[in-house]
Amino acid sequence: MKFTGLNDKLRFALAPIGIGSFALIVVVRLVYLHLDLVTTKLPPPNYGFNRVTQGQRGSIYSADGQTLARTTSRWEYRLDPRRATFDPRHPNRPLSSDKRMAKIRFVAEQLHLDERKVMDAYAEPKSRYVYLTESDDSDAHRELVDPKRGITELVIVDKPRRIYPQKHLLSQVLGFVSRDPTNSVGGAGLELKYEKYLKGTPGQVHGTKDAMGREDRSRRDLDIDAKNGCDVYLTINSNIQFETERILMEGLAEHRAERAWAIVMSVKTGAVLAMVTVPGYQPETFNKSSDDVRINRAISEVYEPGSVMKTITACAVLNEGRVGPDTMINTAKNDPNYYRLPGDAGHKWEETMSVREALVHSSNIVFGKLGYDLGPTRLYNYMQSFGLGRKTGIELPGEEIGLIPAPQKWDKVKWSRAPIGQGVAVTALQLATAYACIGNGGELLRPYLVEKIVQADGEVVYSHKKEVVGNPVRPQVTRQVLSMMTGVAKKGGTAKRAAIAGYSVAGKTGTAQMKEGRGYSSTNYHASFIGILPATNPEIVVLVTYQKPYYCRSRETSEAIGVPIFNHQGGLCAAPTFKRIAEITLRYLQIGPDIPDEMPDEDEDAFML
Amino acid sequence: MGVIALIICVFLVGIAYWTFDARCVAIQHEIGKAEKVTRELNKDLQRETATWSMMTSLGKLDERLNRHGLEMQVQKVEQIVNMNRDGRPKPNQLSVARARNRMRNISNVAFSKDDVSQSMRTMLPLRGTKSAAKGRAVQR
Repeated sequence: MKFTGLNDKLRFALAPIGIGSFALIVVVRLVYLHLDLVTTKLPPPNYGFNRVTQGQRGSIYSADGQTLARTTSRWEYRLDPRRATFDPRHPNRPLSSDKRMAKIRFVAEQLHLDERKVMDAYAEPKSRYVYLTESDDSDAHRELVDPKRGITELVIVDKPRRIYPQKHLLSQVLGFVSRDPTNSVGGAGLELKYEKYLKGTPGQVHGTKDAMGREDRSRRDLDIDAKNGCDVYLTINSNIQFETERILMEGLAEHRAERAWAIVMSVKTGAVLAMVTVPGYQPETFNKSSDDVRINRAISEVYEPGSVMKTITACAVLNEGRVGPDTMINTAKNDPNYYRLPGDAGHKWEETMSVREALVHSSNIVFGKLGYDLGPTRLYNYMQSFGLGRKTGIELPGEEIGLIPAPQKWDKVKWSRAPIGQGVAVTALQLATAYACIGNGGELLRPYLVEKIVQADGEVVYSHKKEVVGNPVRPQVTRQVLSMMTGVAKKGGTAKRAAIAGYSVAGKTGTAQMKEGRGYSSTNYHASFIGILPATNPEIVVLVTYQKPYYCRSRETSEAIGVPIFNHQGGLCAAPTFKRIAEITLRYLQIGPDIPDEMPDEDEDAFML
Repeated sequence: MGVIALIICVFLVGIAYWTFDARCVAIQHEIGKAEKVTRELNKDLQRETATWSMMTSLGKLDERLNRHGLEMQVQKVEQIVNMNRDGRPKPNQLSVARARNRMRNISNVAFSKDDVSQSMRTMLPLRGTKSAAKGRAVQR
């Protein structure tokens, strides 16, 4: 064959040039692609993806290491019945009824469901996503997603979930989170207050996928890891909290009260060891509970404290130096020097009574006179300096201020009513903090719940430091008042039932009528007891309040319904509950007895040699 | 020759590119698998920790004990004896005070003063010891 065009030499020269040029173009293109020198947008936008990953919400732990709140995930199982009509191994062949039944049985067994329910789901003709159940059983999950099983009709969604392993324990303090699984936000309590710490930082991945939907990891241009939220460690001792809740629930039933709340606090640090409001609720199913049970009454219920206020009045008058613990006061109600003094409900006292005796017997007349003599401005200032009528600063949302009107607004009746806890309203936490101040020698501490906050990598971002808010009275006065208060839980005092074998208890009862319209109810009361112990070296303060305990004044009613006569009184209602809570707290904190030689009663189950 | 060398170079570059690309793709898949495994293991860890927290919650433990008829209570302070290393009870304990009181009562009935002072020294005679046996005998 003879070529007529270009000669051979030229053709031999052109061929490699052509091939070389082609190869060069390919190489240049590769270089452009790999070094991202291409100015046009490549690849097309539909191949790019932007994936946001959520950091896990932090956990909340008690002081003794119990998990109080944690985020986990669980699988939600749904079913696409249309996918179950064909054999997965032979897509054109319908699934035999035997195989279908075997599948139904297997799914029902693994998910612990009724076979009938699964069968109905498989028979659903229209829906493509029939809800089956939620489960966190890893073994069952592995079996169900095993390709050998061929259960392709199951649609599994991995849903994050906030759990509260202790159920109703500390529910009002912990709060709850919204039920949106992908973006849960704190809705109340600590979950709300510490939202910015608990919530994790989201991560982001921006990259490209190929036509098969596979990610090209070499093209990830943004890869930020999600960060888990911080863990919050509380001062709450879960054992004390648990026992306090149990005791308070039993007390609620026994005294037929509407509500009750209790606080156990460390006197020396202000750490809250237990904070209970009953009845409570389960935070996981908060939407099924009423608003009423979600309120943390220990900080949000403003109520007239009644006689527990007398301790503050005693501190005030002793600190002013006007009287001493043994100063004798006239107990006459109709004293012309005073305007409409409160009565003492049928008690017949001696003509005079010491301040100490007045506290032990809770005399309204004597404390009315003492407060009257002190004057409204001074008494108001003392209440304020003890933290009553202002927020304590605890790390919880929804704390109430209380209601202590300015002294200019006090009429002359209130001059003698405020000293006995009428006409002024406070929160339980304010009272507990004030009593802790008496217990620790006069330092008003900021109560606290959060001991520390720790990042996921272990770095401590917050650690509590003791915070002294003020020094309302001299240490000598607190010692005098403590010694006076010890008589309350002894024979002749208003709360013999608060006595604890081996321990000296400094406490005070309170029985306050509740407001009703413009006056006071004759049957609805707040029955309280606050105690500091051991009185010789105070470690803890325990407050117990029952709201609306059953009002019982006759023996017949008492026998018929099984509540004691005068059930509404602090000494009969709250004091025994205080005793039980205090005993358990002392045991858990390993606080030894301070008066081991004083043994009020020997129990049958006492230690035997 | 130059052209042939160029072709060979291009070929070699192509082969090298193809090899490295294949290796990169393989590593990508490995990374993908490892990431998936890590995610799943983390989720498993979360779930297992949550399950453990729920299993060991105070309410659950209490419920299980009750189910088996074990109504356990926290011991009372008078039922506890804290001991020193030398085996003697620590001071200021209610249990010890009560024991002392009991011994005093018992001594009024049966013991001589010497026996009582001996018991007081040992304070808490162990079960099976002579003084404990004496105590039990008298209590009966």
